[in-house]
Amino acid sequence: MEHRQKAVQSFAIGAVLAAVFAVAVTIAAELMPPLKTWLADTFTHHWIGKSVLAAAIYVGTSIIIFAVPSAGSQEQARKSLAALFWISWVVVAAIIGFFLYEAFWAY
Amino acid sequence: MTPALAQLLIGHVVLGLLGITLFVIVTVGLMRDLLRISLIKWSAFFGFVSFVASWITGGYYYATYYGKAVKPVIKAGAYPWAHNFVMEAKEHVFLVLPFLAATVWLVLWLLGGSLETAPGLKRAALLLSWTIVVLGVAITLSGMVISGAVIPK
Amino acid sequence: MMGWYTFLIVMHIIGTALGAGGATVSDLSFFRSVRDGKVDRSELDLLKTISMAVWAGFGILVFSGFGFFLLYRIQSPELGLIYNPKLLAKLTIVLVVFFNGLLMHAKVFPLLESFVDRPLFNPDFSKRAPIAFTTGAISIISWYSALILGAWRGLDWSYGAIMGSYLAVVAVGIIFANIVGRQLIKKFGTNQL
Repeated sequence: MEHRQKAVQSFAIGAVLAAVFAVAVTIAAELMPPLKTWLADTFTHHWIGKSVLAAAIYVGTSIIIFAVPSAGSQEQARKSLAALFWISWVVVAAIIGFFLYEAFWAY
Repeated sequence: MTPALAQLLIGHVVLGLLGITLFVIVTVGLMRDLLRISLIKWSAFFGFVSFVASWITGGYYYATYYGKAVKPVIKAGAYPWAHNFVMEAKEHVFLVLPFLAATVWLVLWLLGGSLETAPGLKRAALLLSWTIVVLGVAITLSGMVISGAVIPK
Repeated sequence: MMGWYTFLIVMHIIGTALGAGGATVSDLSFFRSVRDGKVDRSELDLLKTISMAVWAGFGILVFSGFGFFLLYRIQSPELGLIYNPKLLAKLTIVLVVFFNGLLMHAKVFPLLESFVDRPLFNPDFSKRAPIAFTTGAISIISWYSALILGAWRGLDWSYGAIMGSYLAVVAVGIIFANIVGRQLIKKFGTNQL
């Protein structure tokens, strides 16, 4: 059971990191055209690059966190899921806010 | 639009709707006191698979066709904000969804049997499932706003 | 051979029949169930079965509705049909149906479940009952509003006018449903005294 709880905790944290990466690379790529160009050149399209890297971060960090020796617990799993909930909404608000600004106020 | 691209667009929409439908089943299922774990964990699994498939079909359409053939029409039309704001927001907000879906599926798969006696964990899973449904609906409506703005002259 | 458009029309009609019909029967069944001052297990099971039919209808409506949307998008985007006030109002109302339905599952069914075979005339039910009356009123009015908007070909009102009228009807419906509901609860109490 502890292993399962730890797995849930690991993947929840992985999802948090993937979501934070998604918003960070999105805003960074808009503000730094060379980054956007690099993503497009490396992955054929900038959005594909963001998708692939976010997925890699999700899987990679989840596995790494799971592999780190530590005991899992129901409470830790719950806290990780709660963190994912709140951070997801912050990420969504940031993306919407950024593009709202870009579309209507930036220029 | 070629027939293949039309099928990709249809697939993208239908798979997205299917994903949302399955997560509505998960959400409603998690609201109950007595959980039908088998139903909700399989719904979560296929919901996650649907979102990934929607991601791939939509992504291919977007990367190969939207940029050169659809975006210019929207930007030149009556509703340029449908791309400048709605599409840009949609394509990036969507990136959060598959990871949320995978996490909810894993919670149900690995800890589903203990959720009835772990109200805190159950509530956390329910809130995440709600988030998936709300974001899914918002993304779907965004898609309509964007496609509706494609009015060739 | 039946074309896609005809197929989608048929599915949309089936969805509407299940949804609007189911919502009607559900509201009637609810008031009939509480008329004797209690809800028994078979009555609650019936309400749950009807609810499943309504959800099935909703699902069919949503999928067939998006079928129309895709058909127009692919075949005739130049018509610009999506940004039509009537369609946007109908979509808004469909959203209300959806979230109202989820609210019913979250609040109303657990409420009825907790009062199975128990007298409804008590302060606890009286305090919590308005959610049942309110969501029931929203459900039936929204289903019929969406149906009317779908069928009314010549309607050329603005989005604001349509939604204003809808919200006015919903407000009246909620007030009416709660008044009738409270009268029923008072009647249980009088009958039991």
